[in-house]
Amino acid sequence: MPEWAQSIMTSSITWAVLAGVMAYMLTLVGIPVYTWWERRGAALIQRRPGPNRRGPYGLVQAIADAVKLAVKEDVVPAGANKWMHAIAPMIVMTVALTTFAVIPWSGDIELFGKTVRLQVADLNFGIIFILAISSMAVYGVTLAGWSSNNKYSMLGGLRAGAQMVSYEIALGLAVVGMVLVYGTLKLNLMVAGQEGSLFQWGLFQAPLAFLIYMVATYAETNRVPFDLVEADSEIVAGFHTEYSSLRFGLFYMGEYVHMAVSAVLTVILFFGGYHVPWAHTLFGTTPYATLFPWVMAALAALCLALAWDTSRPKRRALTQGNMIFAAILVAVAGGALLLATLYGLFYDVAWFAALCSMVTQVAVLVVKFLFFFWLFIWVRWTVPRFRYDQLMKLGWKVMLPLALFNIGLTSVLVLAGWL
Amino acid sequence: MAVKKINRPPQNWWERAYVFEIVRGMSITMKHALKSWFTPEHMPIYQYPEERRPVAERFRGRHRIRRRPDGSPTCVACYCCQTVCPPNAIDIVAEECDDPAIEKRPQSFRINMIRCIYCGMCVEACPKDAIYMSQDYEFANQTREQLHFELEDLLDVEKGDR
Repeated sequence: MPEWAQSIMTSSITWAVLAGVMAYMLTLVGIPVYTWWERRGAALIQRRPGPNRRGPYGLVQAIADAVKLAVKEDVVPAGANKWMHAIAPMIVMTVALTTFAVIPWSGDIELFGKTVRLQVADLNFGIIFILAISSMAVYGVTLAGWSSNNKYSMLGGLRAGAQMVSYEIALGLAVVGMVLVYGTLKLNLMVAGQEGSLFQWGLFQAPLAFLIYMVATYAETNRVPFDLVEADSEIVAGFHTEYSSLRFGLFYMGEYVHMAVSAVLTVILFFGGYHVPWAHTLFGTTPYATLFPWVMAALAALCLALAWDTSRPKRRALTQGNMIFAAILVAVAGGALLLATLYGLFYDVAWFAALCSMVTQVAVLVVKFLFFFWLFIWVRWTVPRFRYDQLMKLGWKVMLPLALFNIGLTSVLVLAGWL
Repeated sequence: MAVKKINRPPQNWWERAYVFEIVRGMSITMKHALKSWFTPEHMPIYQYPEERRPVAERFRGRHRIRRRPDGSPTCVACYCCQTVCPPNAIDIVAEECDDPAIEKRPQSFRINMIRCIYCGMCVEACPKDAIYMSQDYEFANQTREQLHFELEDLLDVEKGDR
């Protein structure tokens, strides 16, 4: 390994940029896939196929939707406050993306005597940063509602203001409980505290905090069952009634980015981040005692299964068979198996093994993240929307006392040394 | 308006906790999602352009006018269908026929398919059994004018409708 390559690989800037790329992959690149996934998941739950015409499994439909949105006319309603109307979607999107800065995608990795981590900024108030930034999203939503000069938008904005502020309290208090458990505000230390057995996970350390956190998260992201902000059966589309084209697209993407950030944060706070229970992601005594080859084998198996599924003839035209897609999948599977083999051969090259373990950690985090993203979709098509008074009652009379109780309980348990 | 009181059974603590019932509901939706994913052929749907729902034997679709063996329309322009048509969708102009046995034939026979309510009264009224309704229901078009079907559009086709 030449000197310059070592200096690049050990530079913190490299890894910060890579972590940024990681965040953009999961959000901006992922959004078309998420919208497709949401529609397809909804369809499957409702016993219908969903978008399945364009491309393998209908995946290209998402790109078609994006193009349609981009070329639409951008309408600003008469009487709208043009500045606020323009700024509001930007606030929502910027705020949602900024929170990714402190997400640790991997643990500490030793490279040529230096410690690196796949994280943009290792702030020592990481979790507070996320709470502070994400709570600014309410400005975007209320401004959009106010500046549109539309009664439905106004109602949506008002509801957003009340709802997001109410549930933020429960959310913050649930997080306080987790801060007590881990004794740190740094997200990477929180994840590090969950290594080991399954019962080290935040979920088992503080189940009540998890419940409160999940409910408050759904309210914060304005997802069903708390989507009163854009309740389409009552107030048309709520705060984004008067938005079209890419400004609407920004709101739409902002919602998905917010969901993504919430899913990642749930994994980090409660589901062990990049750790697999009872398994060591870094170094073992033999190559196959570490997770990397097994993760690669699982990826290969998944790709082959999908390839078989796309290429087999179907009795009904529910998904388009696509041999090119199948070939790509087989190639990916081959690559994964090749990597696993390389890992077995060059296991003793320290930097290669370290990079592989980093890949493992990211893969584990992403798999958990995908589960929580699916949970958003799953809940959306299961639970009906709350009524407004029920929402407020739940927020102030149930969640807030429960969260306070949880803080007291956790403090006592931490002081007693049980957590 | 009298108020009707519905007595719902009181919820027990399990139901009031809400979370457990949500989990139960989610297991149901997940069951449906898995069923749809693994056995798509059992979905209660028709993939429309490729698969079509079979229509009933007596389905009333677009009109057809039968031909005589020589190919001319069976219609004798008696105006029975035009008279009976509830929305006045049929417009016939009669002319004298060369064949002395037939007397009249339609010079033009127009059905406004936008007006038509597919009631089938014209079929009932026809003394010559000339008009009937086929099972074709796919004649969406770009303009209203294209949906004013003329005699040529209505005459029986060689292979018949779908």
